[in-house]
Order: sequence, then structure tokens, then C-alpha cells
Amino acid sequence: MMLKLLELKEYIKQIGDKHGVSVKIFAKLIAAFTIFSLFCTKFGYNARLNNIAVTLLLSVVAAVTPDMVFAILVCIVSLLNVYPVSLILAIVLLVIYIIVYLLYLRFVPTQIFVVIAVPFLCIMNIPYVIPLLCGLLLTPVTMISSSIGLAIYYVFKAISATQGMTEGASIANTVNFFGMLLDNIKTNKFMMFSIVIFAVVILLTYIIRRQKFNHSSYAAIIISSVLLLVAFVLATSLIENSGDVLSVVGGVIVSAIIVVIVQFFRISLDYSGTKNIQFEDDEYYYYVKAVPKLSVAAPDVQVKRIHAQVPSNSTTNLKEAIDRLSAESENLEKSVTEEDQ
Amino acid sequence: MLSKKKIKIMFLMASYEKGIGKKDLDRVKFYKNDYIRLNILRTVVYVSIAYLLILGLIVMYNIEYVVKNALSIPYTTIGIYAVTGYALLTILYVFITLIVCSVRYDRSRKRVRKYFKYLKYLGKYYQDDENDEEEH
Repeated sequence: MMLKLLELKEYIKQIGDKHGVSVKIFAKLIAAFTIFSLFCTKFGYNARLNNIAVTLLLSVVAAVTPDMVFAILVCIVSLLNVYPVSLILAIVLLVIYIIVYLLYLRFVPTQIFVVIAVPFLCIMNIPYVIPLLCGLLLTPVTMISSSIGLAIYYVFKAISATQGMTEGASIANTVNFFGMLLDNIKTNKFMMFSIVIFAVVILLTYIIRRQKFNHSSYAAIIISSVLLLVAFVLATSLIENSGDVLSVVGGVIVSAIIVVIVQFFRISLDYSGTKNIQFEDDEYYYYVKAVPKLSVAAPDVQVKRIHAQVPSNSTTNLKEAIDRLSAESENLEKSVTEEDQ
Repeated sequence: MLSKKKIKIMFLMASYEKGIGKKDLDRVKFYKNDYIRLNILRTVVYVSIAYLLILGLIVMYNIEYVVKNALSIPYTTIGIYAVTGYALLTILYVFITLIVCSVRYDRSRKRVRKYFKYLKYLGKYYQDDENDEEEH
């Protein structure tokens, strides 16, 4: 079973190496299409954006342009979807994006993808992937990114909750709407709880996976998943009172499986071959623990075609031709030797 | 003549120049102190803009109160709080910039050193090739 999985891993890696650019563009296209479709389905207030042609066009643009353009497109789409609800709110959201960029993302630009991923994974009911993956692959700084992402998701949730409460575009109504929205966010205990738990889980996963014991990464995933499960089941039943515990349990389990798959494809170690080495130089004494990586050669499947006739020269394999030539020359050599004797 | 080692070095250098090397070479054009100072200056500008935007949002949230009590609001006290907040935020960000830029510069310099080492190596290779050709 393990061997089969490792072979599959090598095979997929080979495909990735062979068609790197095309695979990346295709993956980006799928990701962009999923993100734009999800956003338009859940928070699609702009009828013009809410159609498949626009979504597809945006996805193609996002797929063929640099990664940062993809991130900017997501921000623009979110603003354009808020604009029909309230112009002021769209401006406020733009201001918030600018503040987030100036005070945080300027220092760690690549974290924008964590910020973007959180709201979409929340829509898909698997936001728990984020703290597990961030702790496993990145650094504790991602605590800030996940918090911003969660806050943005709850802002959009609050918009959809308060959207129908005010009518008209007068200044008084707009201010009223803005106030209601902020009150909705301020009183959202579940949001605060999620932010804190995500931060704790990121830190916990990071600390455990850096330990020296065997299978520390998988132990980190399991422990953090259990923590997430207990915390969110309690929070759902106590704070939200929605009783949707099953979706939380399902979400955590699916997230944990996704993270295990990612970890398996990232690195798999053979702990049975662990070596503890000690050596020294002028300044230090080294205690080194070396764990070999598990790897197998990808299955090299060759289909041999058996023809009734000898294939023409143009289709003959070069290797086969060389083999045949060497066999012929060997025979020739043998016959010459026999004749001499 | 084709040399496997030379091709490997050239590939490494080209991929570095195309990727992170671009930023690294831009960074090490400056002295470390100048690079950090420039970034601190940028940070102060960005923090000022962000702080003004935050103040704008706070005012907007309390606009009803502001309009009703426009004459009785203690502007001096609020001003002192605002300036103190700005000073604290700026100091915090200057400190963060100092650390981030220092670490970034050191890492870039380390990579650029390696890059120049390869460049020197490659130059030596070409020099040897030229000498060989001349001898022949």
C-alpha cells in the first residue's frame, strides 16, 4: 500500500516536473474559477459579475498573469460585489484593504494568499485547513494573516446579514447601515473565538512539528485537529447555538485528511533508517540526527508492441536498433573466431 | 568545449537572476545603513497614510456623535491621544522595519556573494578556454 502511494507520488511529481508551466496555469485556473464562483454564489450582490462568462474570463486572466494580479483581482471582485449594497461600504472596505497592505502585507507580500484563502475555505466549510497548513509549512507570523482573513470573512457575513435591513441610499441610512454592520461584527463572539483558536493552533502545530521525535509532523496534525474539533464543537454549541456540530466534525476531519495528503506529498521520511552522528570542528560539537527520505522510482511502464511484420526504419526504437547491432556484431565476431580456429 | 560543470553554474546563475536575484541585486546596490534608512523613511510615510485612514474610519463610525456634539468635543485631549497613538505606532513600525530590513539585507548579501563567486568561477573558465585556444 505504502509502496503504491510512494509510486503514485513520484509519478505525480514527474508529471509536475515535465509540464511545470502548464500544470501551474491549469491549477491557477481551477483555483481562480472556484474562488470567483464561490464568492459570486455566496456574496454575489453585483448581477453583472454574477454570471459564468465573467467568472471564466476573470479566471483565465488570473491564470495567465502573475500571482499578485490574481490576488488584486480577488480584491477588486469583492469590492465590486459590495458596491451595489452600499457605495460607502465599498469605499470603507477599500480603505481597510489599503490599511492591511500598508501595515502588514507590505512586509510579507506572499501572505496575501493566506488572507485570501481563509474566507473561501470558510465558505467551503473547511477553514481548519489554514491553521494546520500554516503551522506545518509556514511560520507563526501567519497567525496575523489568518486573523485578517477571518475578519474579512465575518465582515462579508455581516454584510449579508444586515443587507436587507435598511432601504434607500440616503446618508442617514448609509450611516445607520454602517453602524449596524460594525455592531454586528463587534458583538460576534464566534469570530473572536475563531481568531484566537486559529492563532493557538498555528502556534501549537508549529511547535510540535519542530520537535525531534519521530513522525512529529503527523503528531502535530493529529493533536491540532483534536484541539480544533473540541474547541469548535464547544463553540458551535455554546456560542452560536446553531447545533450544526456535524458540519464542524466533518470539516475538521476533511481538513485533517487534506493536510495529511499535503504533508505526504511534501516529504515522507523513513524513520527506520535514522542515524545519530556526532562530530566536531574547532568551534562546535555536533549532534546530528539524519533521517533518510522515503523514495521509490516512478513506475516506468513501457508498452511493447508486437507486430507480425518487422517495423519500418522510421518507427524503430533507437535502443532496440543499438541492441540489434551489438548482437549482430557479437555473432559476427564469434563466427570469425570459429573460422580462424 | 561543453563542460557539464559550466552549464550547471550558468543554469544556477540564470535561475537566480530571473528569480530572487533581481531583488537581491537591487538591495545590495545600497550600503546596509542606507537601505535600512530608506525603508524606515518609506515606513513612516506608509504608517502616516494608514493612521490617517484609521482615524477617518473612527470618525465615520462616530459621525453621529461628532455632528451632535461638534462644539463640546474636547479637541485638545483627542488630539493628544491621536498624536500619542501615532507616535507609538510609528516607533513600533520603525522597530519592525529595522529588524525585517536588516535580516533581508543580510540574506540578500549572502546570496549575492555566492552569485559573484560563481561569476568569478565562470570568468576563470572562459579565461582558461581563451588561453587554450591561443596556445593551439
